Amino acid sequence: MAVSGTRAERLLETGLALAAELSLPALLQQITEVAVEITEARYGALGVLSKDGSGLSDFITAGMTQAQRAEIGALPRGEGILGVLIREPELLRLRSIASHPRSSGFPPHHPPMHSFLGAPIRAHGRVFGNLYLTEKTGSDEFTEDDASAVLVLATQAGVAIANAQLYTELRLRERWVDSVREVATTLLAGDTPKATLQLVARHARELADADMATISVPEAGGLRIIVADGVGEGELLNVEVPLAGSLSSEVIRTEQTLLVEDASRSMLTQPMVSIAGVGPMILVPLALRTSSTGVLAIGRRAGRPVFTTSDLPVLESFSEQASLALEYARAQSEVSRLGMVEDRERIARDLHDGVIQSLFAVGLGLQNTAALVGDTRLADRIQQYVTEIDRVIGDVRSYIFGLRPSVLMPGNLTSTIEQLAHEMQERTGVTVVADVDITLESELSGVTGQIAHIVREALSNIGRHAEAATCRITIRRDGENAVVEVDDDGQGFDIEQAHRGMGMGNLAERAASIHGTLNVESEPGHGTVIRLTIPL
Amino acid sequence: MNTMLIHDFAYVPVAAARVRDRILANHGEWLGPLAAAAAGAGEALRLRIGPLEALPMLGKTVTVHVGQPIARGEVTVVPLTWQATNAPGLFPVLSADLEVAALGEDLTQLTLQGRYDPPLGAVGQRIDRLLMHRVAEASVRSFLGHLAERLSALEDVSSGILG
Repeated sequence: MAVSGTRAERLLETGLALAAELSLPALLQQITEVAVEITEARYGALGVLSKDGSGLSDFITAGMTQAQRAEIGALPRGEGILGVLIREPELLRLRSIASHPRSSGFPPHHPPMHSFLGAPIRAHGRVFGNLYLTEKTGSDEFTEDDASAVLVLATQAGVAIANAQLYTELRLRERWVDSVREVATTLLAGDTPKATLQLVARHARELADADMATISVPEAGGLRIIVADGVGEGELLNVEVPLAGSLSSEVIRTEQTLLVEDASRSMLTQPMVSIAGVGPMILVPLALRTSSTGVLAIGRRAGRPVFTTSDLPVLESFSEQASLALEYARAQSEVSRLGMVEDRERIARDLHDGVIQSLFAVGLGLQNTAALVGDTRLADRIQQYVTEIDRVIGDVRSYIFGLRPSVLMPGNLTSTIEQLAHEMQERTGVTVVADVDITLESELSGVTGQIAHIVREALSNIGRHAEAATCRITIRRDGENAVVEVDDDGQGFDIEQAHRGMGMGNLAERAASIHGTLNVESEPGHGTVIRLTIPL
Repeated sequence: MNTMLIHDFAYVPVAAARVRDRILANHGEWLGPLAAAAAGAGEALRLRIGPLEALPMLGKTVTVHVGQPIARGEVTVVPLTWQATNAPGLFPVLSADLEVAALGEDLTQLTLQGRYDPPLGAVGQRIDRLLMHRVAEASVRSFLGHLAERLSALEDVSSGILG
């Protein structure tokens, strides 16, 4: 087949113009419009094949208004004549679409179409999509020359598309490297873990062309979304994700990435679906040092193109960074705690070896003097000073014991609470479960000792009074606060009558010393909840 | 009420870490009989030197409660409470810190630094000053001596088994 002179010149110009276009959406629109122009068709379309090649993932049109497209409704799925080219990617020229045995007719509001010319576009050695042209102007059918021109155009389009795809991929990789570098810089600059995770979520969403991204971590028997970015971020933040029957639970159970074509059709639930109307999703596990895991999830709104396996490396690299941010936060908390322990050790050592020993020596000296004096009243007076010195020694000693961590209970907030839970269970037989939001450790590192005291006192009350079978210690984030809850299934009590007499006054004072508030909920027969709220 | 201070120490030819572990074994329950034996030594002194046979000192049956120890470098401080089991109101309660400090690889110093309030009010205090404080000191010294002997003996047994 040959192309006539004027048309050949036009095609040459078109080829150069297409090669210069690097934006794939703009290029596809340009190809469609040029195809309509050079074949003198009334309507033209370019159908982009889905990744598996079984249908169409995009459909670009020319010659049809937006209103007409809206009236027709959903994009064609690739059935009828369109499907013929998908299954048999060869040039197809028809005088009448309706006369073809595979024709399946048109949907309502579709303009009438008769003559047809179709040709496949190949890029990177595979069929990228098809050009569809209908309604030859001034004739009943497209000519041989039209067919030749379309074949040339399709070849040029294939090269231009491959070029644009490579360019897009290159740009994506550049942005990916930039993003990774920015996250790493933020991490090493000592920003808060939440700021780093927020950055990870934003970059993951942008690079994967998603509408929203979330990061959730284990908390209180489930997962909690601690970072959300994009559509519905306000509603998604702090939402609990159940650990049973959710897509996230499947990711945590299998420790494998999950690529979901349409989450709204899944039997498994996910807040992104119910809150933000998500369809396609990718969920990637966060691999933490401990057994706990979290999930990085991105989603596109229902109806948008599905994610593909080519999106996974980007997501998985961000998942690694999010994991690193959480690990780094844990390490920072540990370093900070160790620094504090060292300071306390030094102060305690100075007090014990210096102040207490001196006071004790003075006390013993006075005591010996009292034994030597004959005057009983004077001896009593001296002995009173000994008593006073002993009181001061007692105060300093209490301070030291409060300052210094027990050798039996080293560790950060999580390990401290777990240790308390373990000791309580060993001592009383009450089943005790501890759930600590690890992301709170650094923020609460300055008050870990006070929290431990309050939890210990609450557990002690349960052991002595509650007659409980189970008890749960939860430390979680609630907006701008940290909430420490100790609840049991014991016999409860009447708060009005009893609670001042059960050590609650001391707990409330201790809570106030760290600017926290203490609430107690209980009634006879329905257990007790002690809740400490600490502003972060 | 006036408080009396008490202070004594002893050496054990055993590594400090092993001494600490042995003292803390079984929550220190094994220290009770040692304290009772030490109280017996104080009692013998009282009978020998004093005319006040009827007055109690630290009790013949004793419970020693071991508190939560704290570590301070090479030193471990173990809080102790020494209390008579029978008729506790008649006997003073001794609160003390037992300090376990390394003096070398195989030598440990045990220091007991404590306080008690003599029972029986003002009269009890005067009697204590005249006589009973010496009895208490003897009891504490005996306790540390018994403790050091016991720790050495346990180490010898352990070495024998291992050797």
